[in-house]
Amino acid sequence: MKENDGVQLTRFLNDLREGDESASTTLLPILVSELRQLAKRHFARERPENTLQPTALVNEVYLKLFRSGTPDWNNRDHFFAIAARAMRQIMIDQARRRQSEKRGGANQAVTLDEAMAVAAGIDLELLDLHDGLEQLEQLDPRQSKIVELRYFLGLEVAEVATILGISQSSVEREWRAGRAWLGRHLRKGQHRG
Amino acid sequence: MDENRHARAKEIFLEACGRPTAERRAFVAERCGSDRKLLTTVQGMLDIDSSEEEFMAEPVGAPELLEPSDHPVEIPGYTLIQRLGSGGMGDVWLAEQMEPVRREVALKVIRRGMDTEQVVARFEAERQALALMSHHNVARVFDAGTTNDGRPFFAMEHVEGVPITEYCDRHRLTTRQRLELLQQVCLGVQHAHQKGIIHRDIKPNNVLVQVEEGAPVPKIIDFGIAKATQQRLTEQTIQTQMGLMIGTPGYMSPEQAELSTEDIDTRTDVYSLGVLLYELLVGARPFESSELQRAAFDEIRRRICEQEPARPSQRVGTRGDESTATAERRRTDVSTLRRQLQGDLDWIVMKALEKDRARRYDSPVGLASDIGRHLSHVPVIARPPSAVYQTVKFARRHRVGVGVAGLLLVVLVAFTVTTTIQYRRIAVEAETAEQVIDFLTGLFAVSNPSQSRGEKVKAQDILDQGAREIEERLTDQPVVQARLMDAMGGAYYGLGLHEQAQPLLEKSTALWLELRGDSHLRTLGSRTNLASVYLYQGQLKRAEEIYLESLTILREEHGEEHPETVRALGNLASVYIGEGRYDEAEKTYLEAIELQERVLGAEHLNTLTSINNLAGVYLMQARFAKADSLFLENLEVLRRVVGEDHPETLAAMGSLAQSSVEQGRVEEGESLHLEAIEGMRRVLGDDHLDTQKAITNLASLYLGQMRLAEAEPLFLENVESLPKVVGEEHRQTLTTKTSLAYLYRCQGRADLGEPLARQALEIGRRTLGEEAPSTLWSMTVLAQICQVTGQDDDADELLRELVEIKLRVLGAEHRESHAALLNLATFVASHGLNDEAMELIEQAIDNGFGLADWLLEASAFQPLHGPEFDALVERARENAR
Repeated sequence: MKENDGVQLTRFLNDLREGDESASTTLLPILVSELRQLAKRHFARERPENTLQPTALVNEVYLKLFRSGTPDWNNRDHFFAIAARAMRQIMIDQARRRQSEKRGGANQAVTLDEAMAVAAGIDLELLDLHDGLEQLEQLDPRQSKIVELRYFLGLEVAEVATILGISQSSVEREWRAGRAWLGRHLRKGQHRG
Repeated sequence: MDENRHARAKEIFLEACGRPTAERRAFVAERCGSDRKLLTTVQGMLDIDSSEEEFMAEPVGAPELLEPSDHPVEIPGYTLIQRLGSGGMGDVWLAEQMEPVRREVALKVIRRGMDTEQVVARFEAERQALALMSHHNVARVFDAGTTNDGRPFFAMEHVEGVPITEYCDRHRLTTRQRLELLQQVCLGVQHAHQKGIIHRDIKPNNVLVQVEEGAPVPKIIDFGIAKATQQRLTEQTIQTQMGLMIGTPGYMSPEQAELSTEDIDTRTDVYSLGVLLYELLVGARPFESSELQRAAFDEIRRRICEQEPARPSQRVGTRGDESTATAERRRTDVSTLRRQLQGDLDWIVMKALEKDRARRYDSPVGLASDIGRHLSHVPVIARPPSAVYQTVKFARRHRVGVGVAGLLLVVLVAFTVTTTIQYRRIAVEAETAEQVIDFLTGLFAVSNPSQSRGEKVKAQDILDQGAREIEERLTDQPVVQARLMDAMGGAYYGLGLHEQAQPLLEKSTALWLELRGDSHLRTLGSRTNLASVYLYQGQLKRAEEIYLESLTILREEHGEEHPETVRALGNLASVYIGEGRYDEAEKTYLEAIELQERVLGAEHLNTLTSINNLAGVYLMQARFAKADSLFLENLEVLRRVVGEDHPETLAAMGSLAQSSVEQGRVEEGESLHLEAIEGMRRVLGDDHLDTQKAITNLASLYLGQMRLAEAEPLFLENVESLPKVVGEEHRQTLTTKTSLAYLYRCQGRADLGEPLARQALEIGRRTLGEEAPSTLWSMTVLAQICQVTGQDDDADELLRELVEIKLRVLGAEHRESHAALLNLATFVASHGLNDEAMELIEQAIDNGFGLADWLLEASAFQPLHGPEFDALVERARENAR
């Protein structure tokens, strides 16, 4: 991504704010790719003890993309909303890939992770969660957005409130209810399975 | 769920959150009213909210963003050649080691976020010991450390092989060859144990077979790694509550499943070797892994810790097409394979898989030696098996459709098999001239499900209200009062609310007697209705008395062909069924049906009910062909005449289901049961005796097939609902309570079953007497529970009492008497009383017992084997002919 693309991105964000949803379709893959590259670089040079928070990662991407554009706090809010979606997409893709590798039988000769099934367990949960969030989106779009921002971006209640332009107490209430609804959704799925 | 419902759930949830925890439940219940779905949703949300495990408490971490391949790996002293695989835990590389010697190694690089320092530290602690290991069957671990970016890695011998199960299947190794390979695995594990190292994660993927000089050599990989990495993960797993357990659930020992990391010793590996052996022999794991994968944490743990797996020989035959393929992969056929596994190998596997590790082989070499004994035809140590196993096994072999065992199953659970015999429904008479009464009667009649078809069954409220008013306000109009009480009694009866029907009918009977005398039709009709309620409540003697008395009067005063006479006759027959007097029941029904066809017509509902009941009698008499054709024919007529949803049609469906099951057409029976239950729930409601009986029958079917997880909720529903419907002391209540106890025992939860069985037995003895079938069933189950829990004195006493009663009541030739004799024989044999056991077996055979194979298979009788025993088996075989 070239530096001056920041201008272009700002336009997308403006479009989005004007209600042009197609802008998010364009932005999403750009963000996915940027986030991944940044994460990769980060881990290549940092010691593992310095765990990188998703929030920091997204901030960094934002700064990078808009270095030459006009940072606009309103746009930044929109940017975060899409970044949360991007983050979620990355994780789900990876969980799916790992699942299919498990099934498709990566090299049999040396086994890896069955002993440490935790990761696989998390993958399954993550996929279920994703599924639940999709349902929640239909029922209560705002609630699902809040969950996405909190869980996949690790944003604080206050930040979410600013981004969505609602009160902190609303965010807290929606988060609490959304979390409970999803938890129940997952548990229900387990019984079925 | 639509948006509105979601919004409503959210609203109630948040309001509830604003209240003290203790008040929430009640608050939600009140707000949701009769909307049960909403209630479940909100309650479920609150459960999550108040759960100690904080769901989604931490956001997903950024490390999750990375694929394993994203990490460039540099490890001092190694040259990476190619990636062999990757997964959630990390990558495995083929690498070349430079120092101290040049060699190819497998490098396992652990993924970030797995708590590097602790893992490495723990691994370091074991490293010394690992270096000491040197065994042909153990892949060596050379080195451990951290990569350039701080991730832990392990370097180990590179094994070019495939998982042992895959190798065996691919090369179609015979059972013997498989056993020999497993012996080698045992020796490798033994070597590690001697060096103080426990593997903790033995499974096919960690036991690879490599061909060396043309011969297969199993190599165990990953020693010590589980310990180095597991502990932290285990804690994490509990905390996050989202994850699955560490280790592969299918191979995990009970003590591992309990998460007692401190408490794992070499016998944990023995257990996993047992699972591996099981899989090599049978082609499946003791517990289905796909089920375990998705099951909730507690359920996985419960199964591993409590559920007794099927013996290999049993499992191998019950997997359909899979069984054939499995046998082929062992160069044999299913029945030969089953014979190979029966006996020694069953015992060896089950001993390795004992829940209590003190009962397992104390070392891998112990397991290997016993396999060796089997291979060289020397008696194995694994015999005789533990008492727990014996009894569980006894239940296990009683699966419907598995050879001879099916017959004994019936003996064990026959008492739960209650055919849904239909008692006569009280016709609500509206022939009266008085319009008011007509109207009211009509109103009440709607709540009789025969007419409402499940649409407005909420009529009980109206009835309760009406009952009070009739009693209080109509005292000066006794005729109206009596007539209304009759109508209301009928309505309650139709709803299955017999406790409410009884006082009303008692009052109306008394009123009619006073008003019209004892031979008036009103009086007689009302009394017959009352008797029907008694019949439903299980007060058989009282019902019988009334019917006999009414019959005499009816015949004299109103003639043989009067509808009331016919009705009373049919009901009397129902009493006989309840009392187990099937011959008399048959005779009475035949007489009633003949009259009904003549007086009422062949397609009258009462006629059809009688035919259904007669078929039920045939079923109880095991005259299946007759029962079947009657049920079928009748069901067809009922569907045509009264429709699909009529209670009588549903009852006929339930009876046909039971008949199918008894004749081994289990799948057909199951689907009929399900259909009937669904209809009954809709039309009669959940808390109705017919519904509950049909549920009992389905649950008994599942129980017989050891589908315990499916049977459990059904019996639980029975135990909760039946006391409301027929009272705590009714035989149906006692029977299902006992069946639930039996189910718990089969699940290895005897402690849960014991109080249920004891309570049922106590009530049964007091109210129904010791000879009542349900009391005997309670005794049987309690005896088994006592055996499992080591209360030998109680077990002994109960088993002897059972023999005494059954011989006295049923006669020595009855199959239940055989079962009682053999249960006692099993018990005494396992206590070394061989002579007495032989006598008991002989007594059963003298009286016609013919299940020769069962005798041969019974583990408890193994010590009796010899010429004398063989002679008995031969005689049993002759009996069967």
